[in-house]
Amino acid sequence: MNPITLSMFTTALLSGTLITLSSTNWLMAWMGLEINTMAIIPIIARKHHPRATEAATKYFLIQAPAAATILFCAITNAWMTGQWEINQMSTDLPIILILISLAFKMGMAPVHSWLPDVLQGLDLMTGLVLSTWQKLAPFYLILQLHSTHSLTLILLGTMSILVGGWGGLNQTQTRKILAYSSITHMGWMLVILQFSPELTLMTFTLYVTMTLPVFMILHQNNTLSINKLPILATHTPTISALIPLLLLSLGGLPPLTGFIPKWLIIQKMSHLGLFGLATITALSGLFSLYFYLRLSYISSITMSPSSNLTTATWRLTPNSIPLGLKTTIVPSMMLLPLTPMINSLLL
Amino acid sequence: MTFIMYIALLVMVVGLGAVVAHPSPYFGSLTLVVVSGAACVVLIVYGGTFLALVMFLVYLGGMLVVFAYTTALAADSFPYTLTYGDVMLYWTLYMGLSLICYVKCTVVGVVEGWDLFENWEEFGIFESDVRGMALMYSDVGSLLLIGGWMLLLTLIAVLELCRGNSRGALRAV
Repeated sequence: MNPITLSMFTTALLSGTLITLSSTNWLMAWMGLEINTMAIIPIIARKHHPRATEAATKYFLIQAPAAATILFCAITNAWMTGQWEINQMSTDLPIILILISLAFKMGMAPVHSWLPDVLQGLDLMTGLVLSTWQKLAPFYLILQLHSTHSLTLILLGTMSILVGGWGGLNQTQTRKILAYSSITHMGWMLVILQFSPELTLMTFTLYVTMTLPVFMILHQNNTLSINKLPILATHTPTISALIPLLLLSLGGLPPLTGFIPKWLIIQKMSHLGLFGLATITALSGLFSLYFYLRLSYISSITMSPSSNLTTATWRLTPNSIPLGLKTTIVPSMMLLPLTPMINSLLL
Repeated sequence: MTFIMYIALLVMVVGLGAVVAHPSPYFGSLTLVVVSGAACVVLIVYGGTFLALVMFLVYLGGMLVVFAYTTALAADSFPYTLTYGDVMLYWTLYMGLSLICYVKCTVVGVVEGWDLFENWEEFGIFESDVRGMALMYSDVGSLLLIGGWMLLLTLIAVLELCRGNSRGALRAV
């Protein structure tokens, strides 16, 4: 793509999200979402191979009706109540429809099935943008609707955790697994949303922190399917030693960063006496832990204690770790001791 | 006025049933043209005169006619229409459903006439849509600016996707 065109689309990608974030009016929020969609489609189809074109078409076909539903509900809301404010929605019909269409835009269960398919057609860096930055605008809109309709939020959240874990079980493609992992994390965010929006914001921040290095490592080594994970040890030994820990952090095991959101969410739920909901979410989280565990097992089978089946590859040019990766790997594993600080910053 | 409204709404519902029932884009777009025309009439009766004009000129006149023309050129040569069993069946089904809804609404009394145009509270020279238009050019000019930027962006995105020279949208390189 022409660099000028590319820079125009990236600017629009940034400005679309910023317009949505800074608007109090449904019309402007919708315009921001549309600018976002329009900007990412040529970036998705940048490589011009059939899978990318297919992904762009699917993405457009999903995002367009979702945005249209949002606009329709905003107009219905303005008609019924006479105002366009985002955080003053009071009638049930537009609220439920808007929540569902925002969930549609973010790819949450039961309207999630486009996300793995679209992500499968992208290269990993575009996939990273799609699963983090593109979710920020609808996520923020949902965050503003936190006290509206609790049943919809809880159903969307629990179903996303369950379906995200379930769907990822049998996958062999890393991009699809990351898509299902994204669905699960979105589910955790929505389950706690109406009880504590600050926790939702914190979960989103930590999810972005944790998923960033995973996408970057897989991109650096072009690891598109599971069976390329063991080869990492011969190319980049340090990173291959770290990637099981990164994956377990995404899964939420205790000494790592990923434990913070799960810990605080389940603690909040038990403080409020919602033991059934806490049990369901914790048990459904085990599904996704299973596939993270399998990924980390596969990536660690060729590591040091087991005997080497192959010799290390020749390194004519030094394989240095890029700076962005260095700075993101550390917080994505070691933030747990800073939980009090994160608490006081965000809660 | 009530009679015109009845006709327009009838054409709209019947046409929307036909849009949904048709499997081929050829007749789908044709019926969509009819539906949009009827929708313009409904908008006028509700008081949105400028909106109806814009919809008639831009949506119907500019976009939809070109769409209908291109589908007539490009889509299947033997399109199915209402004379075929399946299409007729679906169309009848949708019509039956909307009839049930209509009877239900009028008998139960959810809808009591069209309040918006039967009980005029006030009469002004400027209708609400024209007022909104004027507002967009005066107080909230930034909205217009962002809208224009959005349309430009859409144009460039379409051009980028359909770039010629073996790099077309649906073509593998």
